[in-house]
Amino acid sequence: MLERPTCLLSIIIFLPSVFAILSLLLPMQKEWIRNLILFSSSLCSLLLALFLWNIFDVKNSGFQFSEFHEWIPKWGIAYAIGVDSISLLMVLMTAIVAFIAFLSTSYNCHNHDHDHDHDHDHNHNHPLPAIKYASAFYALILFLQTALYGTFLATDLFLFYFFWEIALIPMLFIIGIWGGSKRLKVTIKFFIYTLFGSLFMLIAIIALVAIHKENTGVLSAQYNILKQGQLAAYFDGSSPMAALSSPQLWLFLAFTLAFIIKIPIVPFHTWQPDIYEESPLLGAIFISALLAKMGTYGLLRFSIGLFAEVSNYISPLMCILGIVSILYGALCAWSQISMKRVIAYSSISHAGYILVGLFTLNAIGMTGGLYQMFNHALLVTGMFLMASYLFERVHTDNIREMGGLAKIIPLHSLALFILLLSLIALPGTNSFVGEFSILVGTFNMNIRMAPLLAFFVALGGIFSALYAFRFYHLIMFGAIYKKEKHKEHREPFLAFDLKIKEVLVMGIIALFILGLGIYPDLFFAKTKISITTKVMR
Amino acid sequence: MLNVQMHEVMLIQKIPSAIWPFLFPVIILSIFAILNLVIAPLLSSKHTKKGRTGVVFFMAVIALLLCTFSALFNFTLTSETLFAGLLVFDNLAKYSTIVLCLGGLFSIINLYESEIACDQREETPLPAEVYILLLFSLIGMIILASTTHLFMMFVALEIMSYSIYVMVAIRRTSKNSSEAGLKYFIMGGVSSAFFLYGLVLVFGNLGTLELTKASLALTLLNPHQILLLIVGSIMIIGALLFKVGAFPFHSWVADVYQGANTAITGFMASAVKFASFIMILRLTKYLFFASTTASTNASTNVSANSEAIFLVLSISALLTMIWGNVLAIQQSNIKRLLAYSTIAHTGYLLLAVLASQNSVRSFEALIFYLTAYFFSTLGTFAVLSLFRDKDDKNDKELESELTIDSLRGMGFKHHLLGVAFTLFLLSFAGIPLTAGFIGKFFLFSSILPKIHFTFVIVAVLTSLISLSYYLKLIAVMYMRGEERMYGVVDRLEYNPVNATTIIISFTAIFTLFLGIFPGPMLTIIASLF
Amino acid sequence: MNELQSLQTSLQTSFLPFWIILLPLIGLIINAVITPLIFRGVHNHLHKTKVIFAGSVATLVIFISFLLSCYAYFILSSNSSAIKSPSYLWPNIDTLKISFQLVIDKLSIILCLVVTAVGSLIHLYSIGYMGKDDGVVRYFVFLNLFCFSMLLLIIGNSLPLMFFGWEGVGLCSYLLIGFWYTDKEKLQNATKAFIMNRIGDIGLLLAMVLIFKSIGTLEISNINQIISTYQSTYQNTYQNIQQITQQTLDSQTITIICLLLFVGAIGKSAQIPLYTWLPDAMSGPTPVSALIHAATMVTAGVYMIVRFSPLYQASPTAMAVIATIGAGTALFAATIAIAQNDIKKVLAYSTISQLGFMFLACGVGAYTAAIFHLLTHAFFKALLFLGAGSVIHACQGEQDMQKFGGLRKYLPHTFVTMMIGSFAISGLPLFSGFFSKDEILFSVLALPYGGSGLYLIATITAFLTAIYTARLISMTFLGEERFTVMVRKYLHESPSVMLVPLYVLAFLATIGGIFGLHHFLVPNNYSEIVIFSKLPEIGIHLPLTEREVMISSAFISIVGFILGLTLFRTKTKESKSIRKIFKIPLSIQRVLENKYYVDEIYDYILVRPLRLFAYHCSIFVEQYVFDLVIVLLQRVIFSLGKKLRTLQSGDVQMYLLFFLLGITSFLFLALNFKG
Repeated sequence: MLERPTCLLSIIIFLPSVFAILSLLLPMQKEWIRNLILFSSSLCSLLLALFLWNIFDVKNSGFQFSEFHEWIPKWGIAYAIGVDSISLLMVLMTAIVAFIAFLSTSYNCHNHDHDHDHDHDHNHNHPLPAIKYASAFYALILFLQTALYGTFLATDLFLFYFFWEIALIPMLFIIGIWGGSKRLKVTIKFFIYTLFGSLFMLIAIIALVAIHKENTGVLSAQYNILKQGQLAAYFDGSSPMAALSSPQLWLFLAFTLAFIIKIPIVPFHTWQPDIYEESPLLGAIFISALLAKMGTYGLLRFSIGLFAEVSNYISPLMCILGIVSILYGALCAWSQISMKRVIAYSSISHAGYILVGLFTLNAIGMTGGLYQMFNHALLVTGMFLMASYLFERVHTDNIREMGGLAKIIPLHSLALFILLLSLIALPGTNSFVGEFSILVGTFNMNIRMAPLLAFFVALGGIFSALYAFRFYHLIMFGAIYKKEKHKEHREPFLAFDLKIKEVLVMGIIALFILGLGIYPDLFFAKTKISITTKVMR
Repeated sequence: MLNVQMHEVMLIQKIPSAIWPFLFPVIILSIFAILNLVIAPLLSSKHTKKGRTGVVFFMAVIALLLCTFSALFNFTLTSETLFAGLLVFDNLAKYSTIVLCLGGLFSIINLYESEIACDQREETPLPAEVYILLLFSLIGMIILASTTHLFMMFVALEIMSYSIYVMVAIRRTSKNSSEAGLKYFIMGGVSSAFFLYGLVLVFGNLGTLELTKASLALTLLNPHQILLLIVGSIMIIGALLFKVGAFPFHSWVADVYQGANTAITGFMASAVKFASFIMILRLTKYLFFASTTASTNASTNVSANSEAIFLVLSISALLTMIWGNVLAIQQSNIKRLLAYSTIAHTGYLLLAVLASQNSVRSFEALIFYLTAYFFSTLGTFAVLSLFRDKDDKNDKELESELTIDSLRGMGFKHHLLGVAFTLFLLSFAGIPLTAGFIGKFFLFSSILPKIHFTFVIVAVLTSLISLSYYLKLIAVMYMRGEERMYGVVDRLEYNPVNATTIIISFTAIFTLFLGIFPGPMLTIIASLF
Repeated sequence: MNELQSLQTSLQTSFLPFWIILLPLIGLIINAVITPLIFRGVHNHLHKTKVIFAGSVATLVIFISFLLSCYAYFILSSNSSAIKSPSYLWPNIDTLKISFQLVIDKLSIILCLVVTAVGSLIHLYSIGYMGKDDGVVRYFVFLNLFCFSMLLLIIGNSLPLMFFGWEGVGLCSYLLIGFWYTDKEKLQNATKAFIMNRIGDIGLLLAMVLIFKSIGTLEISNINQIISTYQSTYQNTYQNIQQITQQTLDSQTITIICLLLFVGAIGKSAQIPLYTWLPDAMSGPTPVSALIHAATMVTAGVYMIVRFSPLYQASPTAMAVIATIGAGTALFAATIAIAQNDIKKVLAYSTISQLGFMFLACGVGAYTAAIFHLLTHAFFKALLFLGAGSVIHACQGEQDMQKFGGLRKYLPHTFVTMMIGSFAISGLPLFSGFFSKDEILFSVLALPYGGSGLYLIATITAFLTAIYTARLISMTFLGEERFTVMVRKYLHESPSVMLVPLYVLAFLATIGGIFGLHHFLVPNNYSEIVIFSKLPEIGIHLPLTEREVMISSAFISIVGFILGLTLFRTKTKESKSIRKIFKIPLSIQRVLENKYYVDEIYDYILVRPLRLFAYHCSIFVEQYVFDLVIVLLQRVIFSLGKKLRTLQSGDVQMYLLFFLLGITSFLFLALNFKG
């Protein structure tokens, strides 16, 4: 077997930025250049991720292929990266989502409603004009990918924070410049909201390293070293008051606050629907599928990994928080009128499932949560693609103005229906396996109210069916499309159903949804060992 | 009874040859300044306006270049004390002379370039004296940064301040700059008076103006003298806080920064602040928080002094942070907004000064943050110095009227300026990839375990508030709608390769480099103490 | 114990179960992919061939799987007790190892036979019925998908696999109810059906999780084995089952498990609380109602309870609950059926009531009787629905019985077959319904869990069943012609492709009784799977022998049927409403006609408040609860800024005053607090 490559991870991290620079130099307005760059970059990342996936041996649960270079020795900070089964999955997820996103949007990827000036050419075979400043846009997207890979692979807390923050800057510009009409106010709110959480995380990292230095005299921000630090002494769960005064709880809360704002979970989610509505397609895909998973990944790796005692103590509370966001997200999605806002609230609901899964703190629940992260990323990518295709055909985001499209564009309705199955976690789709494991995990929690929690988690299934079907009916079924305003250029425009490339993309997503539903072992094989031993210490 | 020891009287000893190199920067500057003073009136006005100032500018640049190289060379020499403690050339002094010379160089170039740009807009060009004044203020700063002797500090402070007052008011024709200059002069005068009074009280009690010997003298004081010492140090602190623009004494900052010429404001915001903070650093190290260095048995009365100073500084730091950020949101004029943001940064720096009571490491944090802030401010004002905007009342385009909206669409029109300006703003906000982030990280990690937790919380919250107006600036450059695409940015026609853009790109790359590889700079700063 | 050993030894692993399932899937793929490709772009002139091609593919596939089931039946009846399929681990995390395995045993082969037989007949029928519809290919795809999931439900070995089929069937019923999706009304009914099923599925899910926690495995065969070992070790009689003291598996958890499973069954088989979706499900095409909402899907609940009979046997309380709900639903639905005017609604409520009967049988422990009734019910109810379908087909979609009448002359074949069907359902002697209903009635009497009260309710329901069936027959076929002239013009007997299934089903409805006669079905067929409770000769509750029960039930059904026929046969033009016949006040009739307003109550208590809450959640809570902090913060900072700005007045005196104030306050602070 070939000698295990040492700098594989660094290549994975920085390959997209190489392509980003390339995209800056080349005139990305031309379609074939853009297709070439995007396709090759996503293909390389995907191949690398797959290569990493199969040479990753499941037996040892520590970090593999890890690299260590001194960065700021004075503060014990190093460029240390490594992959274990959790980050392995995240890397593969990012690669797949990016591949799908680039494959499907190489020619139309911007939000239409603000550029009224360009003419509405109705022959659908000529692709829509690419966006303004395309090279800058794609450079930012590729650069965002680097930040994502960095976050998932960093084993040094400071490096993690470094990539965590860098992922924000491209997002700021992607939504700010290429977003929808009222993007300005929304972007600033999003940026400050997320930074609010991450600044507290920065303070927590500094405090953690300081405490660890006091304990063991070793000044280092390495995840493995910090994990061994005797933090247990800093938490006594004897009484709620005592728990409140113990520093480990505050460290945990600071970390979790940053992650929960990022995912987002109910109390901190108000930025999300506007951002999903305003951001361009590629931006929406990346922020909803991948940036949200940075939050959940952080929860699993840092909040639960570093502070096991506190997470044991606080896990019922977090499960309740998860359940609230499941039910609240579903209810809100039930009464939304814009397509993207429905997707936004439904991803809050799915994030609730993941949160509950992670904080069951037993192997089944956590693996279920991890699996749901993967499924939700694919699901939300598919939903946003469908939203963009439908927007292209019907020129409105308001689902009340649509109707009866199933007869006109049947392939769309089929694709959206498969996504819907995964949304309501019907058995046979990948989300059922995830949600069932989460349910089993919740039930097996050894606290008194575990059955009650399990009941509410199961209840989420009903609510998700409610809003999913309402959403589907308003778009696809009912009386044929009745919107007068767009009457005049409605018929010719609507004539075309999914194009070849779009069918291919939707096919890949459907393959994942049904394939992983029937044979989930494909995924579980690589995550079994490490979840149980590592996180649980 | 003043117990004055005889040897205190300064004798002009023969200057040993080894010390000459340290004095070179000051000597070169003064020679060239005086030369310029002589040449300037000689050149007849028949030269085109540009010719007349060109020569002076050129001479000033040569002076600064020489001075920078000699400062770099000095860095390798071992540190010396000169004139019986008047000038002390330790690593900190050498480091600050390099930075200050660079600052001066960049500001002069900015000044000159912005003057060229304004020629096309039939504005009266600045008289040649502005370059000379800049050299004088630089001399003051260098001496200020390399002395631990109180009286020497006062002299250097006055040299610097007076040249700055005149530079601010140099553009006689414009109402704003003369008003700003006068305001700054009056306030400056009052603060120097307080500084002098404080100095006298301290000298009266301590018996020595030599800060290095202060800690010994402190031990011999009786409680009555301590009281007077506290009053004296409070007054000195007051003057210092005025110079740096901290809370109670900050009101002049906004008007002066708006009134003065943009390049000069840049010089003030960066170099003057840098030198003042070095002075504060030296004073706190030896006088205010002397307990760290002094022997323990004198801790009772020494701690009284440092206790009082700590209280005063903490109040001022907290309120400066809050005041600077909260008012900055209100501003629509860019220069006033940046003025308030400098006030906010003074607040963060004061935090480091506070934490230095019981850790040397926070001095390093102070210096690193100061350097990062120094270069970002220079870059920011370099970018702004290229623009003028019309006031709605009179149609003349003035620098002071540069509103946020006038920068609309700059990101698309001038790519370099847009990217650089965004980078500087991100550095101010403390977003990774920039020196500001490492500065903030260093600041928080050094002050976190040392001082009370509320300071950190306030710092974090205020930096969030600051994020909103930095983002507003970035948003205005990139994210405006299509209907009114460009503001005043559109009218700027400048050839992309001129001196200011070189400076802007140098500072931008420096900020980026410091943000990604802070390692080497950290080791240099560690060696300063 | 010896039967259990035989269960282990004679297991054959073969790919037969896989083939039985995969065939409908193959049909599905052919129709979904190949048929649209072949008939791409062809519009009406080739439509007929397209229908026949798609229909025949779908029917053939189901018919082959029917033959395979027969072959499996012969293997099973020879000696081996179950056929297992090779399995792979489905989700296998840490301890949660569920194998994807299919097992055909004595019990599930019967259901397979029913599903495939009735399924193929209905596929054949719908070629004729759905001929003119343009979405016919989509229709056959969904129908095949239904058969696939139903078969998976039946022969899936582990509970999640059963749940796979369970929700798949729910999905297909949603798709097929809302088949004509342009009509908003039908969509509402489809969603209602799916949501109600989902509510039931929550119970099933929680049961699965509880089983996994307490018993540790989710394989149905293992569960039954563990439960039956407990029972045999304690030589339990019906009395001392409670002594099972194994720590995790006390009787209390078993009862909870059974009740949760029963909740799932209620959702799926439309019992009391969750039944309102079945009458509304009639808005789908009639063959769909015949297959899904009469013969197969709704019986899944009964099948599940019989499948877990050892579990239920271990908890008497659950048995009592099932019995009472079963009986209650039977009576309740029967009373509504009498007052319904829409032909399909009558049949829907009659299905609910017959399902009540089956649950009553399970409740008293007569699982064999329940399965037997399920078998016969599948035949005659499918027959009645298809008959009703051909009537509706003939009257161009008219469903209101008040507009029928006197169709005997125009639809002779339908009349004959419908007549046989109604004989069977009302339990006239010699027809299948009689034997199965009698079996249940006697077991209610004979077995200890039964009761005289239940017997009384059962007999009343049987009587009502006879009446409303006869009412249906007389209002549609006998009496005065009440249909419009336009209908008469196109009135025609259904094509032979629809009549053949009718006759086959009629034949099965008649001989079904003999085929399933208790004596003929040798007990050993069921004993391994179903805890066979031997029927004692004399009823424990009422000293009636089986023969007396048989005579009395025959008498009741004959009287009821004749009464129904005569009372509702009208001479005059307009039909007689039940108010006049039974002299009951108008208000009661209106209550019955509007199904006791149960729908409206549900809507008023549950649906409307939830929708209101959701609406306010998304508008009010979003802005004023979560965003409040941010908006307030912003406003505070802005107002603070405005106030402070006034201080920055710009005149130097103010600044100097500030300066001096600063110094004096510092001095004051320093001197006072220096200590």
